[in-house]
Amino acid sequence: MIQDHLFFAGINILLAWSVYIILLSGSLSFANGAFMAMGAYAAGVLTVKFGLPLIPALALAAIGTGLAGAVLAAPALRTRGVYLIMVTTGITFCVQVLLENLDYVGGVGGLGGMSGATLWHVYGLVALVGAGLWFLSRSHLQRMLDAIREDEQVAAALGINALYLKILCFGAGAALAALAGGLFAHYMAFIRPEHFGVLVSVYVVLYAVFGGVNNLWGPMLGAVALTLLPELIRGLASWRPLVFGTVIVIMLLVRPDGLLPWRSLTLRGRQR
Amino acid sequence: MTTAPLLEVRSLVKRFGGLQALDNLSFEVEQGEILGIIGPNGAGKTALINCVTGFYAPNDGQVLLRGENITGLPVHRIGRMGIARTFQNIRLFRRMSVLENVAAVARDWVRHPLRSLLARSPGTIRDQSMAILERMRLAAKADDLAGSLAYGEARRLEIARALATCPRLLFLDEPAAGMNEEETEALIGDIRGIGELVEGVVVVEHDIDLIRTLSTRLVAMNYGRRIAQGSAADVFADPQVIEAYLGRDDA
Amino acid sequence: MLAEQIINGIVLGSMYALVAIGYTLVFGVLDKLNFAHGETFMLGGFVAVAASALGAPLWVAFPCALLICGALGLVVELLSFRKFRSADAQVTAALSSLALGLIFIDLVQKYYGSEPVPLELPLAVRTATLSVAGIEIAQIKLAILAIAVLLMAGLHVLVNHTRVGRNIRAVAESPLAASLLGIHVRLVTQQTFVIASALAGIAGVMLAMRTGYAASDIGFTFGIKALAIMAIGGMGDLRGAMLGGILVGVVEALAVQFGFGKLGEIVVWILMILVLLVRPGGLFSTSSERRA
Repeated sequence: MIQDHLFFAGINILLAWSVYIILLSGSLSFANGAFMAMGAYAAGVLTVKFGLPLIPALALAAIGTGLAGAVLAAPALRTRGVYLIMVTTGITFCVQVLLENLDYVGGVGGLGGMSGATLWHVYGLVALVGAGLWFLSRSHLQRMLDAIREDEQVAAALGINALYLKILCFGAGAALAALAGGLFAHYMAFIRPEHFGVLVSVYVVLYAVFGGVNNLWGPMLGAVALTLLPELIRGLASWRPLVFGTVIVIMLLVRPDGLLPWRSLTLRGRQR
Repeated sequence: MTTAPLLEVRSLVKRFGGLQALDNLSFEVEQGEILGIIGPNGAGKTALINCVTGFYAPNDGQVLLRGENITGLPVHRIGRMGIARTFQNIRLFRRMSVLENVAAVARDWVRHPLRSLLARSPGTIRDQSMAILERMRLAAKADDLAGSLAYGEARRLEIARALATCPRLLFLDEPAAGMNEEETEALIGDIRGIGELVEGVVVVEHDIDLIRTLSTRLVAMNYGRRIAQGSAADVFADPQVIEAYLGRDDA
Repeated sequence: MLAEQIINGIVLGSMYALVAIGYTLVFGVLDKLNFAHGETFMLGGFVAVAASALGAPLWVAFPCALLICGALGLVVELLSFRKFRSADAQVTAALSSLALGLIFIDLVQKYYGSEPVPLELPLAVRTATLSVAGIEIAQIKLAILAIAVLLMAGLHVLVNHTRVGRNIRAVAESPLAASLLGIHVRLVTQQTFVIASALAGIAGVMLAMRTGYAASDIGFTFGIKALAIMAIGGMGDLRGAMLGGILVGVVEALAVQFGFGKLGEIVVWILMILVLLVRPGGLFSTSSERRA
């Protein structure tokens, strides 16, 4: 049981970060559940039907989903704000319906036979991605992304290729969600399209929002807290969605930037 | 041999529905000049900047930078080719520090976003950015949040940020709007100083005093058309300009 | 039967339209998405279940849903929209109302469980049919259609010919200008939420009567599809929401008729994405310019 909870906490950290990466450039995606599904099914097919080992299967699934995410993003990112929320929600529904009707991967019945994902895989990836995000947060690239998030048009007017960077972030976020999905599939051993409904996308976004999206620790804390706390506090588990919803509503009212709201300066002037 | 003017605007047309924002507008910006563009509200001044910088696609006409056609290029391409701008309604990256506002658009990395991920020498960019802030009298505020700046400072930071892209041509959209006389005085000095860094400055204003002191040459607009150009004395003596300003209640 | 399927589609579509109208009213006035709206609609169905469990006659569910869901609209406005007024709080308000919707779902599931709850209808109501031009149509479908048409006509009168409607249109046009004219913007916002939510509640009752049960997940199936329909009809466009609802209802019914089954659902989403990308003003708008 404990192992299950830890595993899902790790998966949720990865998913919350996949939302965070896309949010770095100012776009909010409700399609990460769909990218998770694409990664889960792609990796599952590669190991079960083609006999690939887990790691290469995950890598291929991530690359494929990342590319698919970038291709979808190119037109979708013409919209922003709630319009983008709606477009990405639509993508999630489309992917789910398509999977339900794809007999090759079992349709509504689902796909089974995957195995091999362990806690080590998940937390190894968490460490790797965390290190990468930390490295990014100290880089000049993040400063450009911040500029895009603040005002995309102005950033573009000053020479930043905003669309390119936004598509890049979208692809990277999709790839990370796919990795999480692939690990999820090889832990659960059996997946069905309904595992990746729009609610998954919603929850993942709310993890990130709860923790705060101005630094990489916020989404991590949000995912861990909202995955593990209901399990740790006796009697809370059965009230999970209620607690979850209430916490988010209150949080947005009193602390709209999340639990860990700070954004550290990436560059300081000479005088200390 | 640079015979082509710094910027050439050729019979630019921009329509919004039935409204003609720019009507066959032509003018040139020469090397080293500070060109003032004046006109009453709604004359099409901001539409002009938006067309030149790629925010709007003009319906007809061309914009040439040193003879190269830049009409219809994406906004960021035009920015990289050397046209920078400020905004009439100040648009800073409000939740970033003053220094970050300038450093984020530093020319060297903007062109190579992925290479900037691996670059490990923030020192150079910081020094360059601080130098620009010093020039715009903002060095003391380097670590403050841009959103916390006073009005005049925010306007100066917009100019500093535009300078960080090492532009050839700088468009200033009503840089003195909302400033008091003292601030405007100081700003005039700042803009004159900038003239040494860039190949040309275009100042769009309807504050006549500022433009009279600052600009080496003037273009007057009304209803999207050029109604006069030349020295300040000539333009302000032009009957059409007088009518545009007296006929409508502005200032 | 093709004709029968088309009628089914129109009945279904009229319910889509009622829910979509709620999304579009709020979007028109506030420029914000109310993601709790689908759950308000879902609760309407459970109001019907509760009323019939208490032994009330069938029609009682309508005024009850009107009042309860209308009041719920006020709660949603207070918790998820009152504080997030500015234009850049658009996403925050969407997320907050989404979380509020999750609370509604869980509350219902706590009491009724997650399985659909049957709504007992008198046999006579369920089986009565009417023969029109040789087609047997269940009377209950006709009743639903009639109520929906009546409500939409009522809304049309309300919006176009009353003071409340005039104020709503003024705020939708420009909240600032409206407040300068002395219109109480907050009151108008609340009125909008009440109208939208009451309509959704009634649509919920009708769907429960049509299908014979209330389900806690329809907010995320039926309800969110109405959101897509609003976008297809044009965000903030009342007429578009009505036409879009009917169109999608008929298309779905025909997809079932021709054996596409659930694949038909994808049509709505693809259409929505295309409209948002290519024609943000909506499928039925005369200009292709985006509403601000």
